[in-house]
Amino acid sequence: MKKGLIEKYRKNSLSLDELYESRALVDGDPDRLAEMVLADWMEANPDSFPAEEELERILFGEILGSIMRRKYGWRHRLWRSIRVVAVVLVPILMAGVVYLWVNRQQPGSAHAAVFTQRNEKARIVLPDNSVVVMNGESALSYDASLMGVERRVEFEGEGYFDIARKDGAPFMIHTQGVTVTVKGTKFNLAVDKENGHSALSLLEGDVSVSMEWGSREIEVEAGERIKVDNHKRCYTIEPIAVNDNDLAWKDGKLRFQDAPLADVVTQLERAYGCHIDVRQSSGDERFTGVLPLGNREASFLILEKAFGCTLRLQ
Amino acid sequence: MDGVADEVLLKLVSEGDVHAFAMLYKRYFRGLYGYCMQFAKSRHDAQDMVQDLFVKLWDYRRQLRPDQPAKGLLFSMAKNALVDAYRRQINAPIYEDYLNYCNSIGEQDSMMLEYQEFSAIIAAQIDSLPTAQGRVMRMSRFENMTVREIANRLDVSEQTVKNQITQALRVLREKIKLYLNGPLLIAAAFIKELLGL
Repeated sequence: MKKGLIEKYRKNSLSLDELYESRALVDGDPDRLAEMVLADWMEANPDSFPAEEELERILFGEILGSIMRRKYGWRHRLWRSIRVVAVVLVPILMAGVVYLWVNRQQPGSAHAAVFTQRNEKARIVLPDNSVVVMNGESALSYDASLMGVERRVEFEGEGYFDIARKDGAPFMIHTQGVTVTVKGTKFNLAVDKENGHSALSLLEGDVSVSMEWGSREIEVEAGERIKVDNHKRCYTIEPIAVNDNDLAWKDGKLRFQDAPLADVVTQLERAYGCHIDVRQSSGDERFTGVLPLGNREASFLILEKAFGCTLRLQ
Repeated sequence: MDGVADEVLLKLVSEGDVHAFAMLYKRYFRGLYGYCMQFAKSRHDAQDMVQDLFVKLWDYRRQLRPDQPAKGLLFSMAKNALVDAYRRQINAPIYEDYLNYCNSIGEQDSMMLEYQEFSAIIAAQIDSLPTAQGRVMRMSRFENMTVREIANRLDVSEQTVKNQITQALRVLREKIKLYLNGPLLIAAAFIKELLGL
C-alpha cells in the first residue's frame, strides 16, 4: 500500500489510479484503514490549516451549550425534582414528627400515672383536654390510648376536675369503691383512702356517683357536695357553703367563715404537711377570713394576732 | 494556562474543569477542524465532526487517562467519523469527477475550485441538462447508484445509462471549463454567491 495515499486524498491530489487504489483500501481491512488515517493524522501539521477564528469561537459556544445541558441538565432536573418532593414531604414529615411526639405515650406505654408529693400540686391536661388539678399526696392514672374511646381514670387523693364535654363519651373516675360518671363539668373530689371518706363538691353541671355497695346511681347537682363513707356504707348530700375551702388549695387561698380554730389548724396542717401545736387557746375561737396558702408564717401570724394564741410546729 | 501541558489539561478535564476543556479546544481546534474539513470536504460535516468529538470528550472525561497523548486521544474520538467520511467520498462518483477535473487543470491552485464549490456547480448544471441525462446523473452522482442499479430502476439497458452519463459528462466538462477561463472567474464568483457558498 502506497504511503501518502491518505494525505493525497486530503489534498485532493489523488490520480485516478490512486483513487481506485483507495477504493480497494476502503473495501479491505477497516483496522488497517484506521491505522493509516491515524498515521496521517499524527504527521499532519496543524499550522498548515487555515485559522478559522470566528468559527472556532462560534463552534465552542455550541459545544459549551451542549455539554452544559449534559453537565447540569440531569442534575438540574434531579435537583428540581428533589425540591418539589421536599416541599411536599418536609411538612408531612414535620407533621408526622409532631404527631408522633404529641402521641408518643400512646403506642408503647399507654398507661400514664401521676403522683404528687405532700405540698406538691400538679395540673394535668388529659388527652381529651380535660384538666385535673391535683393536690398533694394524690394519684391519677389512666390509659392514654383509650382516652378517645372510653374516658376512664383511677384517682386517689384530692383533685379539681374540669371535664371537657364530649357527647357519647362519659368521663368516669374510679376511686375507693366509688365511681363518678361525668358529662362535662367542674368539681372537686377528695378521697381519703385510710378512713374511706370521699367528698365531691360540684361546681357546675351534674355528675352521677355510684358506690360498690350501692344499688343505684346518685345524681349530684351543681352547688352540692356529696360525702361518701365507704366503711360505714353511707353518704350525705349537702349544699356547698359560701367560701368553701374544698377548692381553696387550688386558688392558693384558704377561706373560712365562722370556722372553729381546730378546723382551721387541721386545714393548715394538711396544707403544709406538718403538725401544729396550739397553745394559749380557749378552744372556742371561731375564724372568719382568708389565709394565704404557701406562706405558713403569714398564716400563723394572722391567727396568732386574731386569737392571741401561739402556733408552733411540732 | 497557555503553557500547561496536555496531561495536566486532560487531568483537569477529567475532573470536570470546563476552563481546561476550553484550553484544550483552543489548542487543538485548528488542527482538528482543518483535518476534518479535508476529510469530509464539507464545512458543515467538519463542524459536526469537531462538535461531536469535543462533546464526546466531555462525556467520557471520567474515563480519560491523562498519560494518553492528547493527539492520539482526539483521533480515537474522531476515528469513526473520519473513516466514514473517507469511505463516503472515495466511493462517490462526483468525487471521481472532481479528481478528474483537478488532474485536468494541473497545479493551477489559485484557479482550482474547491470540491464543495465544484459539486454545487455540478448539481446546478445537472439541473440544466436534458431530462433523461439529468435524472441519470443525479442518480449516479448524488444518490451514488451504480450503472446497473440505475438501469434496473429506469428499466433501460446498462449501455444506455453509460451513454447518457458519458454525454452528460462531456457537457458538464465544457461548462466547468468555462469557470476556469479568465473572464468567467467573475461568473464563478457570482454563482458561488448565488449558491450561498
